[in-house]
Amino acid sequence: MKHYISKTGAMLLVTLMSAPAVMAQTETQSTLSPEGYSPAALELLKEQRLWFKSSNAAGAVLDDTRNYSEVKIGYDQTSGNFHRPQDGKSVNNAGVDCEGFMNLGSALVWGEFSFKQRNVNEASFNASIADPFRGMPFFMADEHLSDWRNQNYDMKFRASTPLYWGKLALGVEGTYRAAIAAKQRDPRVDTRYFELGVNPALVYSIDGKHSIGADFQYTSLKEDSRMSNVNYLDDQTYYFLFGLGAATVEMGSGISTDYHGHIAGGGLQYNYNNGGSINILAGVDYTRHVENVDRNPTIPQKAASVKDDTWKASIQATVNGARFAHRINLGGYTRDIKGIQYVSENNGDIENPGWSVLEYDVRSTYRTTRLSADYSLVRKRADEYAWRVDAGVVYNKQKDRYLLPEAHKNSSGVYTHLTAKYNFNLGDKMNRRLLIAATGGVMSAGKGEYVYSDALPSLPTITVLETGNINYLSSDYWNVGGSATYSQQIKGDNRMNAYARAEINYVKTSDFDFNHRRYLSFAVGVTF
Amino acid sequence: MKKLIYAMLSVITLGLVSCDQFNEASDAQNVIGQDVKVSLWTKAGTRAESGNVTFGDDMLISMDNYTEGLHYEQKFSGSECVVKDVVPGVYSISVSGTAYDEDGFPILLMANIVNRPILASSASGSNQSTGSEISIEVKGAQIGNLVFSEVYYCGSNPWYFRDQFYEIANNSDEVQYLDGLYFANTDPIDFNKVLPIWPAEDEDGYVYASRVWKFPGEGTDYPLQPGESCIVAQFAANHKLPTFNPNCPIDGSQAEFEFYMNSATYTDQPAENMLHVFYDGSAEMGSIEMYLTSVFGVGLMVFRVPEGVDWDPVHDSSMSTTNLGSKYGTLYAKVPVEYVVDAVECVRNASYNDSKNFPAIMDGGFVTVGSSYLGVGVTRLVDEEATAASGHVKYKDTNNSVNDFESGVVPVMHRHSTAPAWSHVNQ
Repeated sequence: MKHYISKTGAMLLVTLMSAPAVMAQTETQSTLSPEGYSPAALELLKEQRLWFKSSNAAGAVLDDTRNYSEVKIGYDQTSGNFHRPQDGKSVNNAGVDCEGFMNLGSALVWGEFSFKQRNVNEASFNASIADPFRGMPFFMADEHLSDWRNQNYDMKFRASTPLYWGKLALGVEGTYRAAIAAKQRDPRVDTRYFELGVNPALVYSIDGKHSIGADFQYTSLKEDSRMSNVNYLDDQTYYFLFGLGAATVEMGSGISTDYHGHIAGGGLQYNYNNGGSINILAGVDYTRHVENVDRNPTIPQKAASVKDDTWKASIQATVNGARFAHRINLGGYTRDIKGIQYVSENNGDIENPGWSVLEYDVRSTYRTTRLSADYSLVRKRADEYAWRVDAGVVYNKQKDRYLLPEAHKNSSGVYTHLTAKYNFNLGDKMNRRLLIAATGGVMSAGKGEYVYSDALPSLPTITVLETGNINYLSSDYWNVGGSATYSQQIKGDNRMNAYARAEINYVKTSDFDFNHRRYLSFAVGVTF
Repeated sequence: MKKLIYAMLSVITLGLVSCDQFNEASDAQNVIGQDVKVSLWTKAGTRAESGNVTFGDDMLISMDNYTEGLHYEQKFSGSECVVKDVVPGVYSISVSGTAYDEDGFPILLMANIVNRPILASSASGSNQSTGSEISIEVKGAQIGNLVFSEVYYCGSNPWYFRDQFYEIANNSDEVQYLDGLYFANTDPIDFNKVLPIWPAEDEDGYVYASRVWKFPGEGTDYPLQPGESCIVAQFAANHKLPTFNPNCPIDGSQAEFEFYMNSATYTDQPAENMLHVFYDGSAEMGSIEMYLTSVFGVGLMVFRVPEGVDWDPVHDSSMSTTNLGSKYGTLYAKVPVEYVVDAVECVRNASYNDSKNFPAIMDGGFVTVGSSYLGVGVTRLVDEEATAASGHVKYKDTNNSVNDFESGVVPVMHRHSTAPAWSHVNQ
């Protein structure tokens, strides 16, 4: 599978790299500036493509349809003790990302591929799945600090039609995501995650200013997790988590677990665009995700499942003047996960062993509510911006319950952030730019609460894992950061711009035993 | 157009496949605690199926869901009680207390049920509607005069298993004789927790031994005084010697008995030899060099056949059976439950708590050291109050090894009890 993924990624990369040749044949040159895209120009272009930020692929025709491509190689490193137990004391990522949009005239296509080698160091309480934060409460965990070596492959494409009869456009989005993750200490795990999604969509333009859209979302996902011990003389203690720290204690070399599920849903959109100065897109999306957890796939025992309902609503607006642009984004998000546990019984048949489900109940619930408001003031300069200020506030509330025996974990917080960017013009020749950004934020966390008082209260999944989680979620902190991006054309007669970026972010807290978390990243890339 | 049709068919197929999952998830209801009504009945002390005894006011019921670590305990009077708000799941249930017969004579009662699903009759997926009403037969408790006081079964690093031993102690105030006492083990539970299937007509009347041994002696040759114990070793040699395993925690030459199997490799030691009784329908020992119980843990028991009863599983086919769930024809000796003096269920690790061999009246719980080749064992807890009162060591014996044993201890022979005077160690 790894070979296949690499091959597909390479093909996509080649396709994107060859984009300029296609562009030359299909695009009106007057819409493209000869100096290409500086990082600020590309940021502005993508930001103003409101339909692209929705789940509706068919809306591309109503966005700015200038072609663009970007290829980036990056490395980042995160360290410091302000993290959840499953996050790892430090995390290193190295990867490549490429993305491109092409207006082929008879179709609009967009593609994205990213590969990331992710090294997580000294993480604990996960011995089972590639991403312990993906909303799956049922997985194996152990106390030992262990490194993880993960590889993530993400591919996505969109294709859509022009407006037929000036009214109707069809589109489709396809997603393929895969991850291979390996825990490096007993009990080890080798886990393979993949998801394959398809979102067909349509857009109907009512009168040139008003448009409506709809899309259907379907994703199939699977994770195959296999535990083992290298030192088979020393059986390990691990825990099968039920949620909020409730767990069963198990010992040995672990088990294989099969996660398989589906996501189905859809979205509705409404767009008002007066042809340039005002562009508003409102959308609402709903998905239902069900996923089963089977122990021991050779003799499957249904252990648990989740029903995960997500609602998203957003209003995005851009107001473009001659000198300034304003961007407003309001978002609302709720996610309601129900953790379902099964009572099952072995059939006692040696010839045809199996498990019978006797009962299943919702045993835990996890509700996330998030509201956000962002405003940006952008001082335009040709296709890019000279400077901009972005301010925003995010309210987040998490309410988790274990129904019987009763336990609960609640947290909330308001995060306020401000970013200022200045795009220095170092010379029009070769389109030389230095983009400097400074950012800061303050998290005001509400009083977190975690109450667990019944079965096996001394388990480390309660005293260490969930206590560490609630401490993290209820910590106040502030962060400051900045980045510098230098860019220029590679050749004066070529639209290709190259850039190099360095970024730092420092998060400081003094709550509980936490201190800080530091993020450093470096990237080089090209846009064209 | 064909491609479009294929694509649509694929989407429809995926949709149908996922329908079941969506439906099942949508059906799931919030868990509701169950009020479990428990009714007791007994034949102890009476010829009738029920009645004729009066249950006392010291009845105690315990319900354990070992998978989730849930424990409910309730004291009550009489033969019925309701345990409220029990989380649905699979439970081990134990009941103890005193009943009085028509003459007012007290009978100590005990009962256990293992792997009993407690279900909400209206719950999603439920196919049993009687989960919250349980009728339990309680029996006269078997409080043995002899008990397993120390068990070391897991072996030591690296892969050394000749050092297994079992200590049996006198837990009474009177002399007990080992002569003629049987020692037996069950098969270990399958890694996949597939339990054996025994003949339905046996009801709960028997336990099924894989191999059976007997202590030598003519009746009074091997007395255990109160406070004394004996060691039965797989191989009664000093395992710490370089020849064997210097990592081993014990010197097996201190054992009073061993399971010698005429091996040329593991030669006969000074300890007395146990007498072989039964293995796979035969009195022959078989081809293996030494007797070995699973390092993952098995059920162990000592039992005594009542005087005048001819219990002979080798020649009496009614006293042996096969596992009806197995394609192999291995024969197991049927040991009537009432013969059992003491039993302890050792399991691979705590997650095997739902896969036990013994009926709960023999051992309502289990012990485990969690793994194999750790060089640790399990030891029975001392009943300090009874010890102080009697003047010699007395052990806890509630017929539930979870309560009675401490696990993961470095094994010590004669940790609390002393070796008998006749032990070759004392000669």
